[in-house]
Amino acid sequence: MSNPARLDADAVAEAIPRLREDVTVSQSEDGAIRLRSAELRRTRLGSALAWLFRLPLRIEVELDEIGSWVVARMDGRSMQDLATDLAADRKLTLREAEAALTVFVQSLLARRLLTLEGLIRSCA
Amino acid sequence: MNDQATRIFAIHGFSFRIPATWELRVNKGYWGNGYQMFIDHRTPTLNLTWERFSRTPDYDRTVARMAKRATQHSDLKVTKVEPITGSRQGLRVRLEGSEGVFHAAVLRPDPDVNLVLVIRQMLPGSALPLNRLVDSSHALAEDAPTPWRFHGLALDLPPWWRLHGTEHMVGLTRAVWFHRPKNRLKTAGVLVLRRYACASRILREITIDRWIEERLEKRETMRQRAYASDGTFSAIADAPGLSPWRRLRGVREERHLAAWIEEGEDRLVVQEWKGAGPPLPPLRYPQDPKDGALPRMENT
Repeated sequence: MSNPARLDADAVAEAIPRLREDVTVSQSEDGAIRLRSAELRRTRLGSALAWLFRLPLRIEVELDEIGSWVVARMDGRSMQDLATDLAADRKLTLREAEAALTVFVQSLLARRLLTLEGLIRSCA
Repeated sequence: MNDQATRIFAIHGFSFRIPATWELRVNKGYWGNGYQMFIDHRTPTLNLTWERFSRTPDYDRTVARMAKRATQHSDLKVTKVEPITGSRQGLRVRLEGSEGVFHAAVLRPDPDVNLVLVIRQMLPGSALPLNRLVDSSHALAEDAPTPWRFHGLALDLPPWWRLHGTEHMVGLTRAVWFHRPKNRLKTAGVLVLRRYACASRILREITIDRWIEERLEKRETMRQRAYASDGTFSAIADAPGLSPWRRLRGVREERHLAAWIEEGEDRLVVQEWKGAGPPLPPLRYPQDPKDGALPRMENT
């Protein structure tokens, strides 16, 4: 019996990564893309702890050259298409590109900067 | 499966041609025995185990063991067993079950070499891919020079170099060989190859020799640095002896380094050798590993 929590690799390949609507994109002087989330919603206790530990109000990340290249191409292309483009651009094998892209997308998902369209529907 | 669509896979003294889309996913074991699994576009495709026997292999017993294991884990049953003809020895096996027909082989690529491969297709279908793999297989004796073609690495090594570890991750392949002449326990040399992706990005603002120099240990200095006509950089990293006794005897610790760029795939390859005796030359493969023939093996 398959585990419903385990994502199917083919479903992930067909999913379309998109930046969340509340994420603002800016570009630094050297061309790197900077992603900035909306202000994080916290409970009163969470806010107090955040104030105490000086946690940031929002998530902000600056991408390196390859990350910026990938985010600039998140225009409705599927993960598979992005991996193919990345492999061609960086002369990687398709498996290397897929693995690198998956880790990158996972890190953006964990920071709530990204959504994967089509994944929930296919896994339901 | 014509020559353009295949590439040579060579490891631990045996080789065969595999479709260009196949990748080595699981790689366990050493020269004497081990297990590998190949995938094709994320789908497990082929299972391979090998063993070097000290006695005459019993193919029938191996097939019986395979049949028993297949029965335990699925409803597969051995329906046909036929001998492999020609210069190779072994048995071709046909297994049938509710999922379809699977093919396997117990193969001795060279009757003079005591190496037996057990190959099993993990997808039901035609026997053609397996037959082509069997027909292109070769094996080498323990004391023969060995070619290595896996994970994008391509090199030919003198006899008695044994692969002891590989690490294959995104953007980096690393492999370590030990030199054990006549299977002695004492190691006579160590070879490490690292193959980095995105060489043009790594070396954007720096030359190979500077890049290597920046990665030397603190106590090391670089000497005899030179570039060959093909762009291969070579140098010796030199350091005082590791122990007071070695320093007292005036022994120096030397690492022979070489590095080059594979333009076609934008990879930076760094070779490191340390040991006794004459050092290994830069092992740069002269052509694209995909097209790399194995003359010593294919003439056998």
